Amino acid sequence: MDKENPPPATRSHPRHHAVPPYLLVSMAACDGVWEAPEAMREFIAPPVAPEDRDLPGAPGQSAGSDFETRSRIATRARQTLLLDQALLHERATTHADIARLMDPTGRLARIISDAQGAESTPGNPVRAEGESPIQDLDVNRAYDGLGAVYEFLADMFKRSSLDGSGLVLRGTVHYGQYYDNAFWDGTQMVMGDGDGEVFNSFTSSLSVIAHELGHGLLQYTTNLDYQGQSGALNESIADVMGALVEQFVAGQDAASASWLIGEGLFTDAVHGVALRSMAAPGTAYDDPILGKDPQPATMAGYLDTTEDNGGVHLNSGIPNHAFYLFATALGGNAWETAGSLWFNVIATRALPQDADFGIFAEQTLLQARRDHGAGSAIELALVEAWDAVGVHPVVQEAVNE
Amino acid sequence: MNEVPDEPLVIRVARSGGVAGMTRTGTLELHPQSPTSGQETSWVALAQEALAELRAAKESAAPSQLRDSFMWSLDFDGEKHSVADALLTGPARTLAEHIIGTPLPR
Repeated sequence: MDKENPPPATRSHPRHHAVPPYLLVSMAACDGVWEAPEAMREFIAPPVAPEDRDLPGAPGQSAGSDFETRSRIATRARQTLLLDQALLHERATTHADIARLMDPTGRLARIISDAQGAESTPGNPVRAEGESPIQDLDVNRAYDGLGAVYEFLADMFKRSSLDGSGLVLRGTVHYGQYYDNAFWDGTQMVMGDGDGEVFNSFTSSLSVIAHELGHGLLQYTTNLDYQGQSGALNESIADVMGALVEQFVAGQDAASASWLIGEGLFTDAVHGVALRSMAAPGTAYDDPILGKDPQPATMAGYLDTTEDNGGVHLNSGIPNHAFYLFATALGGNAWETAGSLWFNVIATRALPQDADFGIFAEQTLLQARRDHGAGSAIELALVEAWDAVGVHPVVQEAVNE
Repeated sequence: MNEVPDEPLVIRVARSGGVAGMTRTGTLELHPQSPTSGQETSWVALAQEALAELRAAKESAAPSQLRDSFMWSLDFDGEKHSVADALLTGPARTLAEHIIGTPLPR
């Protein structure tokens, strides 16, 4: 750290901790599955090489046990950091003076670009943060959608953008000709205009915009492998994000929400209401041309296929439905208890990237115990939700490598 | 491809993935030795260019952080090629889009 010019956050707003922040950040990174965001790296002074870190674990212990120890320490430290960030944010948002001293990168920044029908990104920048709406509905919807996602993460999880330190949110619109898709390219969301016969513009659904940003959030937290069950979890968590952002903006509680992903995306010619239904997977559309929504709601309908990375958009119906059952059993706003529980599981990186449904279910239960105590009504509702979709929680075995 | 007289060339295309998770498929049967129209002759030529292009392309996986992107599979009489959407270009893309019927005619 440069002594003459320390970062404003450390100089002007000292944080008081039992464990010094640099140590906490080092602990949080000690299992190698989490890299401290740039703003936090300034706390680590001097940087500690992984092999030099002094960790508990007596000599002579097996490598597997060392791995477990590191993993446990890191997970707990990340849990603490998460809570700590939340408290800091709380103080900052209630006191304007402190807010000015906060991490300067922790603010909303959006850039929308226009691909003008080419299949290339990002295209021409057309609307940057703070600029007025322009004469292009897709640009404005993308801009507003990214703002809604930012506000959701900041308000609910005290997180600035996808990476927790103010990552610029980028979106490209008018990608390709009649392009029937929206995707996350690893750096930004990309939206097609749709063909106008089956699909409207992909910016027309906030849940689709938030779904794409959900993939971004996963990339910066637990980057679940995009294949098979871990891929279906990646898809499902993106759908949860899509649904919750939409509910958050509309102020809808779990009971009154539609739980649809991509409502408004189909043209009037299509017999269907949305791409997916978390409340009733398999019922979102039934159309002479598109066929019937193929999503299963339970493990009994699990689909084995090589297409779509092993059916990641199909089997996601199972964890989607579990989340719906859990959130509606709790009642109230789904993003509060149920949503923050899901968020904490991915943000603390307790999961391996190739986690299957059973491992994920077990981590949600562990998180429920951490957040609400063992045997709470919340934990019981979660047990019932996983049971109803036929997913059996699996205690993860300690595996080194 | 085996260009035996009267033996048709069957090209099957599937586009899977996408945020909607809907797979679109299509089949085109061509008669390289005895095309029935000038149009078929052009498709035969395009199919040959497409196949040459696909064979020349390095086996490259889609960028690992892509999510919700389309994945294409093209099957020429049993010879299979899998291509990420961003990497399907030129004659192969023209052919593949024609076979699954997209983009829709205006």
